[in-house]
Amino acid sequence: MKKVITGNQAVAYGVILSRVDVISAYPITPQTTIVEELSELTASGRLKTVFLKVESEHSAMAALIGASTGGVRCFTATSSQGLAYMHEMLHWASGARLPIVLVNVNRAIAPPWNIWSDQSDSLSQRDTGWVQLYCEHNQEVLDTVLQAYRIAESVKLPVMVVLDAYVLSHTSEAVEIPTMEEVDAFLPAYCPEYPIDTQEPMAFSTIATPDHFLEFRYKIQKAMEQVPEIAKKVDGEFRSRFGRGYGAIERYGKEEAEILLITSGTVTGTSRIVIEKLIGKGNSVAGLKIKRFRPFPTEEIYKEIKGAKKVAVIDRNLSAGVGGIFAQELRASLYSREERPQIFGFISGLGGRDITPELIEEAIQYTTEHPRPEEEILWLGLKK
Amino acid sequence: MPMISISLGHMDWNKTGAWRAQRPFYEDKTPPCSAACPAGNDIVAFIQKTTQGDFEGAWNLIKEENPFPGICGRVCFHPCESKCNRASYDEPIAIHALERFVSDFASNLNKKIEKVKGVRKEKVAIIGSGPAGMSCAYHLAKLDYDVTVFESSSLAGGMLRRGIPSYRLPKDVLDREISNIVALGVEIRTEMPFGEKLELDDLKDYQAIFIATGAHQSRDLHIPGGGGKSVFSGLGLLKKINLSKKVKLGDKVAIIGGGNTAIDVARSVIRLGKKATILYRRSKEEMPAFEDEIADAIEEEVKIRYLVNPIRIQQKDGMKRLECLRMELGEKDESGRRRPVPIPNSNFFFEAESVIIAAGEEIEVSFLPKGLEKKEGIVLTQRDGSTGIKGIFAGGDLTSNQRTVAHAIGSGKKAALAMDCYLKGKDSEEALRQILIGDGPSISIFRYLHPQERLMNPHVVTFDELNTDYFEPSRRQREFKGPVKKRTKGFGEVTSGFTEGVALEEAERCFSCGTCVECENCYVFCPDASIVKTGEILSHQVDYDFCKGCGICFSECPRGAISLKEEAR
Repeated sequence: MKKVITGNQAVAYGVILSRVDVISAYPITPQTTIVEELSELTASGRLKTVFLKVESEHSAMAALIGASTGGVRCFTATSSQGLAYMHEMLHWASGARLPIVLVNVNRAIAPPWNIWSDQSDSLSQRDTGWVQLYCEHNQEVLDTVLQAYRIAESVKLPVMVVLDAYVLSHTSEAVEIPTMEEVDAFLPAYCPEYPIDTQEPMAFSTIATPDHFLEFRYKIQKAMEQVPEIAKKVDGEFRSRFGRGYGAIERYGKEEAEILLITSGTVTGTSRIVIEKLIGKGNSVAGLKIKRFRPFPTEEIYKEIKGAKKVAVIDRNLSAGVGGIFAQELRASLYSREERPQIFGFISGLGGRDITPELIEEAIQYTTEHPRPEEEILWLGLKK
Repeated sequence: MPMISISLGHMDWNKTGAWRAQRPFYEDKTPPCSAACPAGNDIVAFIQKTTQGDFEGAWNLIKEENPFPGICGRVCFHPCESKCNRASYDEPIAIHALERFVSDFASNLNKKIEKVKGVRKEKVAIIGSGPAGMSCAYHLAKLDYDVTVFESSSLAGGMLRRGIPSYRLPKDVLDREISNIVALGVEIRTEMPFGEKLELDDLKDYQAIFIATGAHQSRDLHIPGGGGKSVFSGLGLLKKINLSKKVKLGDKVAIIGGGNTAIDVARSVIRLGKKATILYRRSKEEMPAFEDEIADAIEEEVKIRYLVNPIRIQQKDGMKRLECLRMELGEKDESGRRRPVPIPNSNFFFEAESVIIAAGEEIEVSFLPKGLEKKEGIVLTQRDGSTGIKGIFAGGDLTSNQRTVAHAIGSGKKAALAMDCYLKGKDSEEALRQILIGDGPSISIFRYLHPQERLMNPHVVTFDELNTDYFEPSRRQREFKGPVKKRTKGFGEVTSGFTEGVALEEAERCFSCGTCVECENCYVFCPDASIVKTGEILSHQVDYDFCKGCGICFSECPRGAISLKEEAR
């Protein structure tokens, strides 16, 4: 069944269809309508879950850590300051190997106060041991929530599903909503690795001395390394059941191109139109959407990148002192490779400013005209 | 190696209790209501029984300390409610109304009361069958003594019968609570006025005597015309009305005084179809009558004129002319109230057909045994009621200026304890100290009889010591009062008691200060699972092998029933 729904409603449908047992969340703009929808559904009895009201995002995640340890499927959603407030507990969730799914609606971090789209909140959490998946449209949002539980529960790592504030969260699109039976067939019930038995008490996340700590971290890295293969399998199965799939990355435009434009989130939608237009004008360009940021799809990207002479990356985020985070990760991933095209790191659209087709075209034009970037950080649309 | 750090066995070997710097422990503390109750009622205990719907159990708990719940529930000035911690939150618990409900409920059960008399050989005589004498008789009977009460008039009850109008205390309630005491085996011999038909020498067979003859003499104003015809004493008038005698009064009645007797008289006068005006020499703030009573009187159209002092009563054409002075308030006097000072040349006249003087009561001393020490209008005793004469004890209005029913009940109970100690050769002062409620002066005779049960730290729980996060604001339930026009037509009871539903609702409001009600907050919040349950029931024990002493149980206890002390180093 197709419905015209917002990105936040798509999240709610994803949660309902995933048969989540425990939801705990604290409202924050622009995530609020997700929580409203789910709490109302729970209160009315139509959604059979436990909805825990909490006083903060830190507690929301702490509550889910308890619930997930108890062996049930858990969900939360947040944005910006809320995600930052959860930071300590994000580490705990991954360290305790709990397959919690969190939806983060990308929003800038204050000050100055700003409630609009910006990836700095989720990218600030890149080292917390969470899988991160970025979405381009509302259909992808719903589908990614469903896939997230499969991935999380396979590798025992938490997954963060990310969507842009307003452009997706509050904008309606037609979305195909699978039936409960279809999803049940795709997503089996969650089986915890260490079920709790009150008759045989155990202590969880006890102290690990220097003798063992390194090994626990090694296991998390190994689990991360399994994600590409498992995610590919899950995506493949999803495609065969629902006719839609996303991959870790997606290439569009020319199959062989001199210039490759790399984006994530909703900027990709705009870029598709720009790339099509430029190809029509005879340019040798292609686009690459990065969906999975963690674990970083190094191999997948390298396959697409090696034929290109130059790569333009548009980052809607800023790691002050370095530049765009996607560009930075890309540079690092290419260092040991034979073919290392020039990376042009553009920063644009911070705090929700529109990244227009004109700005994207300007980025590609700059990349075309320059053999190498004149500066480490190239600012698009910066007001003088 | 597992995926996460996890103990594959239990962690009981890790005795985290060794980290503890402070130790929580269960310890009931004294609620402010009980500490304020002159009769020593275990208020929290009876209210908690009420919340369980066990009204008879609640009644039994009150009767451990006080044989008169039906009377106190109606006429007590309830200092318990003034001290109720809930008053700092929204409104105090209607303790008096719950006490009345429980008593009225239990009386409808018509339980047979077993006789307890005859186990001990000692005989005890009690002179006066008011609340002090009967309370003493009750507790002595329960201590297995052979008790005889001597009463001067034809019916027992003393001031309860003679002084309190029946619209506040119906006679059947009084009769029922006195008969409950008689049923224990207490003998009441009426029409035995002390000093007339009964002399001290007649009581030689009795090993101990309790004198509680009360304060029945109306204080004279000592003003010209104050002793004239159709000038009555307040107490005399109430006695006549209570004994159903005809009273002749004019239509316009002046009542001089500001105490409870003045109010009782004025409201009785209204019920006789007359107009009542109270003349009081101080202002409303200084009035010794209870606030509720004053409010009821005003509602019933009793007029009160403050800062007015009659100095002469004259007769003129069948009317009384009261020459009065207007007063103003000066410095504080020895009672702590501002002294009324006459305003010079402010004389005016107030006319009335009848004048009633209700300016306080005094004790009768003529018949008292020689050797009793007296000072400032009362007989002096030790705090246990013992007098200078061996074997003679005294209490009630005779020995105190706090002339309330509850104080009288308390003093009778204290004397019973002291007489028991005297007759058994025990140190009564030491016994008294052991059973004080809070810092006293009230005592718990339950603790005297059961020293190891319901232990309680004397510390009185303050509002600040409660965790009110766990309480919801709620309105105090009110007793229904009949419409003024209807209730002033006769001497029927003005207020009607709580229904069962209302009583349960009101009892639920009780914070239960200092007493555990098994809410299980401690059990739920303990991060170390160190609060122990036996089956489904809280054991009130802490597992000190694992308790880290974080104090969460202490701070999350809504009612201060858990204490925390530093561990010895």
